Amino acid sequence: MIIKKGYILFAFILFFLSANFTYAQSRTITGNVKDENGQPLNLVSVTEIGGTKHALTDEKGNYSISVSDGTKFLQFSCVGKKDIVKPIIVGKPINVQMELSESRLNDVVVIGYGTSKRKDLTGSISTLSGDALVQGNPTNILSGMQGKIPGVVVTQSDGTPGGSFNVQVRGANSFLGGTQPLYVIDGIPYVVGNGDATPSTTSGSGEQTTVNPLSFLNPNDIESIDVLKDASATAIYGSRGANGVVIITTKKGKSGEDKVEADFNTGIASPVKEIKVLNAYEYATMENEGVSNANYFEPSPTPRNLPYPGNYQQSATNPDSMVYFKGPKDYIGHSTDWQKMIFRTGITNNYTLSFSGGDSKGNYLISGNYLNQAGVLLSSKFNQYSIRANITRNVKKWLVIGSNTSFASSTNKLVKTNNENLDGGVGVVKAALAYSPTLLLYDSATHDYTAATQVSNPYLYITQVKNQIGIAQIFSANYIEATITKHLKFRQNVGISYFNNQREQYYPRTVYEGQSALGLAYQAQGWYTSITSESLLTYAQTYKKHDFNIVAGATYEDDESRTKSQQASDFVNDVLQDNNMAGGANYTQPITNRTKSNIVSFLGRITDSYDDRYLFTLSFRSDGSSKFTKQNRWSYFPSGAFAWKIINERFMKRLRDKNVLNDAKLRLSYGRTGNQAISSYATFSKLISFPYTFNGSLVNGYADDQYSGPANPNLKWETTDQYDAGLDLSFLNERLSFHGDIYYKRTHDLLQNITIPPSTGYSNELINSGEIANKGLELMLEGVPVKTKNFVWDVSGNISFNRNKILSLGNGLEQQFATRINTNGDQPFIQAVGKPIGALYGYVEDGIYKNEAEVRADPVMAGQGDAIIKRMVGEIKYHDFDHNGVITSADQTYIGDVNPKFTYGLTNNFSYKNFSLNFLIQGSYGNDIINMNSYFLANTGQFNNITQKQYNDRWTFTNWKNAKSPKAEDQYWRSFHFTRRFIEDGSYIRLKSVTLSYNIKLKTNFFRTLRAYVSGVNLITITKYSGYDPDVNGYGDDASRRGVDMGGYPNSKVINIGVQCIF
Amino acid sequence: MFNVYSNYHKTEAMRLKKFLIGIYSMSFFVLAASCNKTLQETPYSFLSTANFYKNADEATAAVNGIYNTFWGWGLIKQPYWLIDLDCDHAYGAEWFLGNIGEGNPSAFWGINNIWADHYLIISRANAVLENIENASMDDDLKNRLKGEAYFLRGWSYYDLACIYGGVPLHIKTLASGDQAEMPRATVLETFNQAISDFKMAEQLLFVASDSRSGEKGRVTKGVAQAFLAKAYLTLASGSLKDASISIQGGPDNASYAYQKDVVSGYEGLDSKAYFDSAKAECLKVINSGEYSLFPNYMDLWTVANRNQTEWMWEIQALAGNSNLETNLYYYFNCAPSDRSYVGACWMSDNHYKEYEHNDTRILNGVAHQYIVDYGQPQYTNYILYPQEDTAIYKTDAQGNTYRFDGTYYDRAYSNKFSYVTDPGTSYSDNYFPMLRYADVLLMFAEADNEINGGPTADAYKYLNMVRTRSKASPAPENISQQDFRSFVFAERGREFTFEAKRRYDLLRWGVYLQVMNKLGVMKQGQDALTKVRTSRNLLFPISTDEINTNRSLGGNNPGW
Repeated sequence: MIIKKGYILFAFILFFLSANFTYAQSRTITGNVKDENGQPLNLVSVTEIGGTKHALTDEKGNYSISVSDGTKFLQFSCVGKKDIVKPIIVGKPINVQMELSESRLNDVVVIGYGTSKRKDLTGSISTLSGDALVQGNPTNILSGMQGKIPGVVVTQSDGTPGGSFNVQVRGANSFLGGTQPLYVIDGIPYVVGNGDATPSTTSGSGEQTTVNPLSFLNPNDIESIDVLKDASATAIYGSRGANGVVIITTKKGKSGEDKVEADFNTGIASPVKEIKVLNAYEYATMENEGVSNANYFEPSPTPRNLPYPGNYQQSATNPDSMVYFKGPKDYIGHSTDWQKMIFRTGITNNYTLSFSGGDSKGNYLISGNYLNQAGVLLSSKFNQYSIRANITRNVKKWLVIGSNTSFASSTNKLVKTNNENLDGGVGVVKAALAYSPTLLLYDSATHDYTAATQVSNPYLYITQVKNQIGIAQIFSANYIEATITKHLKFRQNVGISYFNNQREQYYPRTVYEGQSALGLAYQAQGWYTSITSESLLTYAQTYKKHDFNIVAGATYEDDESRTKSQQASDFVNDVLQDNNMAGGANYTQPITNRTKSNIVSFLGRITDSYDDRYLFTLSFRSDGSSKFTKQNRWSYFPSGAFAWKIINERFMKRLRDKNVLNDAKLRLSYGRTGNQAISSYATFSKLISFPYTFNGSLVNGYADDQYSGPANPNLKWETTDQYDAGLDLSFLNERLSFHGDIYYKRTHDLLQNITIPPSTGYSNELINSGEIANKGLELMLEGVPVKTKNFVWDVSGNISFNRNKILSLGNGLEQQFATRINTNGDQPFIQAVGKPIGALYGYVEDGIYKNEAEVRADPVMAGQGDAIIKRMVGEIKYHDFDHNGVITSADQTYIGDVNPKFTYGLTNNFSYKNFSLNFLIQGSYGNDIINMNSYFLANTGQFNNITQKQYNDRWTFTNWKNAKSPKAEDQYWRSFHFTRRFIEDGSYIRLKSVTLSYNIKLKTNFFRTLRAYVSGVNLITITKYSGYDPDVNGYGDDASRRGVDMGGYPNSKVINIGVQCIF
Repeated sequence: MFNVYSNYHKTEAMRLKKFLIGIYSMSFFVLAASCNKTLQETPYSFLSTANFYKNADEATAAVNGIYNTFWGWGLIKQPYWLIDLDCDHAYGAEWFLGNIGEGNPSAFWGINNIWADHYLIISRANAVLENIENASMDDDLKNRLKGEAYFLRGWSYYDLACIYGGVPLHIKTLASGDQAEMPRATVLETFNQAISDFKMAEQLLFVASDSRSGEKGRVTKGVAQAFLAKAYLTLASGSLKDASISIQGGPDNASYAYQKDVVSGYEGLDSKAYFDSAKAECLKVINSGEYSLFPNYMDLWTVANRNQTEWMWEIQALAGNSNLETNLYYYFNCAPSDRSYVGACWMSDNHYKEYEHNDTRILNGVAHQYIVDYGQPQYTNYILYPQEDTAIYKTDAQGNTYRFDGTYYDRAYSNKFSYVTDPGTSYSDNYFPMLRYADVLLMFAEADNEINGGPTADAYKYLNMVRTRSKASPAPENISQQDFRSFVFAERGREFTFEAKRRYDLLRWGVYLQVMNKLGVMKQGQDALTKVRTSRNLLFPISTDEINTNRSLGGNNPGW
């Protein structure tokens, strides 16, 4: 510890040692550099052409450079400005005025531990500017990224306000390790999910809703997002680079006049659609049909009474009186639409106020945001305050310090959606579809849940259950950068991340969970703290035709998290909820947990540009992680890349000069990265408490945890080797540009939790075994088809193809199944050699048995009793692949794939005078979705309501020829095999956002800019998917179970109106 | 272009550069050196095997952890006593007994847990036996703890052998090089492992009255001896050839004589020698004077008498701790005080008729009046059982009138599991009977009858001790070996209903299939359960997890 602290301290002391630094000189040229506004320009690089000498301007724009004999020209370059070359006249100062760069090739791209100009990149890196990010007014940055970056597939878990998004870069390469990329915010890695610190949702087993950990970042504060995709770019992040790296850079104050910017916008959200289910009349008819069918197909001596007879019957309590029992017709016009009862129009208010400015001594940006997002389901709300302070200061000529710090506090009121349950705890969306439309909104005389199945009344559930997460979060990225010599820079980053969440839940006795428990309360807290120290030396040197840049560094990270949770039940009433848990007569012991992990890394990178034609990058990182035993603690992640700037070859000169071709670059790279998403202490055997009791006294008991498996000291990283070839082209004065990448990734030593013989006393063991390959193609085309004085149209389109394949599972295993997806135990996700992760496996239907003759003719039914034969009429016929006369697990086959064939996005910007119009079309093609809503409703004729389609398709005595769904029958024997009945094509094309804005010109100078806009989100979606929305991915980051709709929170359409003013 | 000024700076710059390089390379070196310490993981919220088993408390906790396994969903939570309901005496609701109770165990949700939880006992016992030697503690305590571990492992292998036949024998942990995938041993090898473990336990454990035997509820020397007897008796009765036994049952509840089968895997054993060994072990228990029968049968079941006199070993429960409670009360008791439901299991009419009328095991041991209204007071049912005793039970002290409803409530609910601390919950603190002294007495009588070609005075004495305390008449005198064998067999059925003994008795005597198939489909009131069985029902299917992952296993039991 002492050594560690000493090391950090030492890094600080270094600057003060290097205080009195100046340079030697030979033939000296001096001068001054100004920007396009005539302001002095700091940190302009001044280099001699053909030589190696180099200087920077100071804060007054002055420079002094000693040039070699024979040097005739000086080059002035600065980020964001056009390069300028001036001839030397000895003894005369050279003063320069820079101009803004128009070439996107000079855009600065943030790469790991440094920056590069786009034209000098050797790796595959996509950049999204802050302006492009906020098109469509996303409330969080991940939704803003959707469809805009090739090779990056952003899906939402569901439409929960503040809910999580899943980002997958170039396909899945892990079963267990997660596929989230590494997020680096202002240079500091940010641990997403803080998995160890997020208290498990102890209640409502199977609940999968998670919150978006990046929601603390206000999209308006983002300068740019750079996604590192190929291994030459990501290998510098070593053990965390395998899923790609997303580098988020927040805004800084710009030089010039101080400004105040205010953004206000209000959004009105409504559900994208309602699913058509039966009204009360149809429902009562169907229920009656269910009982009469039961009486017909399974006759018993005393036929069962219809549930909705529509006649007078003797009262059960008073035999002398008659009571009227309602029939279907009595419900005409008296139907409860449960979806309407729980849906609403949700209003979002989003306010940002920021102050920024800068001069030669530094810059600042202070911004505050308030977001209040009411979801389209009653009671759901995401509420957040955040504040950011980004400050940079040039303390000395050679020393810059900076701090980018943000604080956010949010409360997310969740409603139960997106969960695996098929019993009482199904969640409000499934319940709203299934709940009987003949019931009243609230009837205190009856039970508040349907006793037969205990599905809770969705309206009561949504209004009375408390389920909220409060998060307070600080993320602070700080640095000191010292220019030690003109070639050598030292930078020390220190990052602090703190995250605290509190989950509070209360289930009153009116709902399933709280009913027998007499009120059920949970509280869970989690804390996460992380400290990162990164020390970097950057050495830049030009030698003859070589332009070197060398980075070397060492980093240290320390993560610690704690959780605790407690549970109580049996409350005297439902008034105090979880706020006074001591009021529960029954409680479980508190559970606490603490984990800690460290990573120490050394890294280095050399880039060399030879004659501005051949670019080489070599990088290396070595990571040591506390999560592994000594033998596997250190791993090494090398990479190499080569790029050929064909454009600068002599034979391209004519094209170049005529502005036909502005850029042509070929890139090749290879690199190795890792995935260390393995939990702490995985190599330990764990003893956990297994108490016993003797003669009425509790005694301590301890034993190995059979579910965490035997200790495996051999655990190591999942390792990915990636090859990439890319081509960048730019034509016609940069009016048209093209970026294409083709890649091949191969991941080995996959982490797998394999089942081991239970006779060992363990159920499973975590091992490294198996291989996965991903290959793909990403294309991006950008163009400016029209550019006149008043009218500009630019367009940008991207399309990505990825193919995933399991090469081996290890252990000679040919196939296995991913974890089940519901409480019935269905496991449609198969992992088989030669198939992708996400392949679906199940049975095939041969239609519906039309009549008894068809049942009798089916060999599968041979030997069945008459009673069974009879009741099978109108039931699903499953295909007997092996013709052995029984439907067994051997009759399963591949029935789908949740991986898209391709995903795409198309952005158009039109600007005419003061108007501008922007729209984004985005979509996915060829992916399947598992619709668990339809699974939940499938059993026609039981208690639950069904969809109109299911009703129309059901077998009846009249619709027996064309039936596609089983008959209505009230029974308990029907069970469903998993077939395409529950899998649908999830392809969609969507008008993701449209924004129309107008720059208001005012006579007054008070406003520098006043812009008003209106935008629409998710206005049009074209899809065959019958659920609420095809952009659904219930299991979030779990690559092994993507594309499952588990009664997720319905997505919403949003209309925003807003104003942006700059003073 | 060279001057003193810049030269000075150049020199300083060089010096500083060297210094920086020096410091930097040093700091990297220091950091690298300190890395291995920094990167050493420290567990905060769990204990690990490597630093456990250091003292008496830790070693005791590790042994308690073995006992905890009984509370898994593969044993006392349900499966252990549910398996026994696959017998001729148990009757119940189809929704509850539709799988195991109808000979269809592979459809039971807990089928894989049964296998896994037995092996959990074994692996925890193995861990204790391997690590306890390092603990610094009192030798007596260490021996007792080892004895408990040996016993529990032995019990697990004994039970596995009864349920599955031969199984893989794991006698060390994976950490010390045990093979994960192991072939099945033979039935005899499995029993021998159990016997050897029981013998170790017998040596190491203290008698129950010795204060060194620890808290009540732990296994003791007497328990080890009794289970040794039980293992011997299983092999002895299973391997006995050319013998007959008469058992009451069938559709007409008559007595049928069956020629017993030799149990598969027990062929060629010296049956008599095993009966001798069994008798010897029973005698050790009887002569120890540690145990005696409760004078009144119903005293056995009260909360106050748990762990007392007759009770040799019970799985201990704790009221209010749902991990240490069962739903035995919920499934077996007639109806709870709030009248909201009725139990799902009861004894068959046939079996009820195997008792004498005044036998307290049914006079007090079966519910004759109960009330149920399913939460709807207007439909309150007042039920009596049996019909022939309507005159006795038609009214109670409060003047309520009861009736026999044969269409639905022809049910003899046992009172065994009706004594709990809190009857209001579906989980309650029933202790589960693993071994009581009456079992030792009846085992003695059974073995003695086989050794001596007929019953001796001692055999009669111990058999009648069990009968007379329940006010049943003494066994008929001077009966043949076969009649005495049949009588003891039936007596075990009467004494141990729902105590997880009947199915084992039917199986070890090689009459399970004959008795069950004689019953066929059993109808009573509105309930029907099929008792038809095939030879595959003699052994349970092995866990599919084991079948799928253990390539050395060599397949499942026949028919599964």
